[in-house]
Amino acid sequence: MDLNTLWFLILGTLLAVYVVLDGYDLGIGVIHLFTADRKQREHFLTLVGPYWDGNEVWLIIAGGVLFAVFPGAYAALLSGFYPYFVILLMAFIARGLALGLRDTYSSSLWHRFTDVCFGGASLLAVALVGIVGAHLTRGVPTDTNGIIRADLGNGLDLPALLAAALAVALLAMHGSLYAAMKSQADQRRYAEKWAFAMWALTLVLAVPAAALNLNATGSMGVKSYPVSFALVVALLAMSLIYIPWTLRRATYTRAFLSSSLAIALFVASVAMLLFPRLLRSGVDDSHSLTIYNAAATQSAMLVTLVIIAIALPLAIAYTVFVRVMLERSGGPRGGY
Amino acid sequence: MSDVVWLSRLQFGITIGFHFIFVTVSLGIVWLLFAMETMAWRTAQKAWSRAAVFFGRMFIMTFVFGVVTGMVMEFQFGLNWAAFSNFVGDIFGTPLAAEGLFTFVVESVFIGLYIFGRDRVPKAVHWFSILMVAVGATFSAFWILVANSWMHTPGGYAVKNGRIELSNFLEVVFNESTWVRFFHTVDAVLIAGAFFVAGVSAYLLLGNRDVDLARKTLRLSVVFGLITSVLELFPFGDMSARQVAHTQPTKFAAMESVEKTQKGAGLVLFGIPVEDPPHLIYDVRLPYALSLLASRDPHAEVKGFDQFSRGDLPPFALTFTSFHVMVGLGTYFIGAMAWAVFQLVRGRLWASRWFLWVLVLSIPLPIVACQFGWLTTEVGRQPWIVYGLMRTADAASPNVSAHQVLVSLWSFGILYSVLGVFYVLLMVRDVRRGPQPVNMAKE
Repeated sequence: MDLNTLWFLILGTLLAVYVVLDGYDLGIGVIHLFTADRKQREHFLTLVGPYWDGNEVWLIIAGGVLFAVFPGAYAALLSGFYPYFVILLMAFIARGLALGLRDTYSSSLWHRFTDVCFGGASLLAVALVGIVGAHLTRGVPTDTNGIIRADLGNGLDLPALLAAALAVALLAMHGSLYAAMKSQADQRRYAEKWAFAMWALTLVLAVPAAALNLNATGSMGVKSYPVSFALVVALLAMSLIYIPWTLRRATYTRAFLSSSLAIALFVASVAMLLFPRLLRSGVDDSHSLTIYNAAATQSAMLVTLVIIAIALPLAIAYTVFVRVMLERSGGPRGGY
Repeated sequence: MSDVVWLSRLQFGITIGFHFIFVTVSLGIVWLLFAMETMAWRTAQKAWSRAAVFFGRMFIMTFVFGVVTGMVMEFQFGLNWAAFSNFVGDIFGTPLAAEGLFTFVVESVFIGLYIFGRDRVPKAVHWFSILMVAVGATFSAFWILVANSWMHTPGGYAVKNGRIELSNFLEVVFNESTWVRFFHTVDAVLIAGAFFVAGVSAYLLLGNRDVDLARKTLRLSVVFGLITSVLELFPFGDMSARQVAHTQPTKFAAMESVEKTQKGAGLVLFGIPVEDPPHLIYDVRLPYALSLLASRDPHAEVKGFDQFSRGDLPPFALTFTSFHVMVGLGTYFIGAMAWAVFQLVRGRLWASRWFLWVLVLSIPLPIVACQFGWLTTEVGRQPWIVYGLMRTADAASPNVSAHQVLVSLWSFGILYSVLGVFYVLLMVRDVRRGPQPVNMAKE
């Protein structure tokens, strides 16, 4: 395996870790938006309060790593989907501030406002990621010179919106399962209900969203490893279908792990469709950015590999240490 | 220069300048906060732990603003500067990735422990959490300054295949201006922290509230402030000036208004900058001082505007003015802190009401100085985005239209204006409310 392929794998893993981690707090944000009961909403907030920042950091890391090892893809993706990423950044700003500043005023009007900001921005962020993800899967709109130009006019079609809805349903399910795992009694039952509804919605949306965002040319990469791809998709389907069983048996940790696995496999299946491309041109595949033509030099990739090899074990150690410390102290309570 | 380049520059300037305000305050107070937490832990005095909660709360709020506005930074190079990102991506992305991997994880998980772990986790663990946040924030500054310094004094690269390629990573990290810039910037930020804590403490004393606590934090911050302010002039400011004189003569000429290359150049004490051609009117100069400053030799040659073509010179009036505002404020910081420590030693600081007011009103000044210092270095680098290698005019994204940037610029502008006002209101409210009794401080 060459460095480029290795980095493709690492980047895919980072992205999967990010979606699994931030996915649950984004998902909790989505169901939080549709939760009328104030106590329940506040309970949701205590679940994400100490962790959202640590989860979101993995997106920033994935961004930095993408820049370092595949600068061509970093530049083309962000500039090509300019309006989407600008809105996404603003959603993250609104979301973080709403969470961080909710307890600075005790007025109920202020709480309602920050709650709507947190929930609305979470929903918006997930939907935008779904839309960009749909375009990455089916091929990005490029002009005759191979330069990506996706604006709000040509990006928001039915398949992309279906993908957005699928992303929202999937992460809302994921978030509800996290909440069910971390709650008791009524609050657990409430989260469980949401999880089941979102699970059903995910299944309903998955087939049309996949069918409309895939096409024959887009899945060329799969031809060289049809068995592994089929295996990944089968495992993905199984881990999704397994979730209601875990809920019936009240094994909530297993439910959350199952949904985490499903999300990771989902990211893996998209990566397998694209490989070795990073940004597949929807117009002409010769314009696609691959792990070779969009890459940094071998020496730059090696340097970043050394950095990540040192930093990642440390990062995991810190995260585990802090989680254990906080959970041991009786779990997170209260706010800022 | 096209509209899209101008608008992209404006947007980058606004978003990074806004983010830098929160970095200045949070990195500035985090080490003082660490000192307070250390005192609270070791002495077990209520006043110290209440002070730590009081300043800690303001630190946390500032930190949250810093985190959310900082996220924009990581992605802006690709959004607006795709040509730049393509050209220097082989080198520029690595320090950003290193910053994220080495420091953002540390900061974000330990800030959670610091906020939610107070009075719940063992005291030593809680103390360790703020130490890790402080260390993480400082290293974060290091890595981002590596990336920034490289744009001023690029090293460890080769121009190959129509782009910049990495040849020596250590020369990238420790390029000519990395250490100088790191010490100069971090010390500037620490001065801002000192003035912040001093001003808030002075406000408490003026209201005759929590006198014991306020005296402790005022004493801590003015001593810290005097040390950091003096260090900022010498050696850090001096090192910085000499480094610019030798590596970026066009910036140096604009900062100091050197119209003609000369030996025994004078240092401007006063002057009004005028463009076309760049020069000063009503200028007063101290003979030989600039040569002495730049090269440790009163007769040394200093390069002036005449050595360069007009197209290679930065905007003069903005660079000159920004630099002198920074230097003027820096001088004031030394004076203010020296007076504060002098009065402290004489035992008269607590009673000097007019001076306590001066300290309160000085809170925003180091933040202003940091913004002008940053303007000096970035505007002074123009017309280059990477000094000598790539022009800003060639760096923007080819597929982003002026219209798109105009819309995003307005959106960021409006959002950030609201956030800025809100931040100030929040801080003012917290200061007015003052430190809380211990049982309430627990939250």
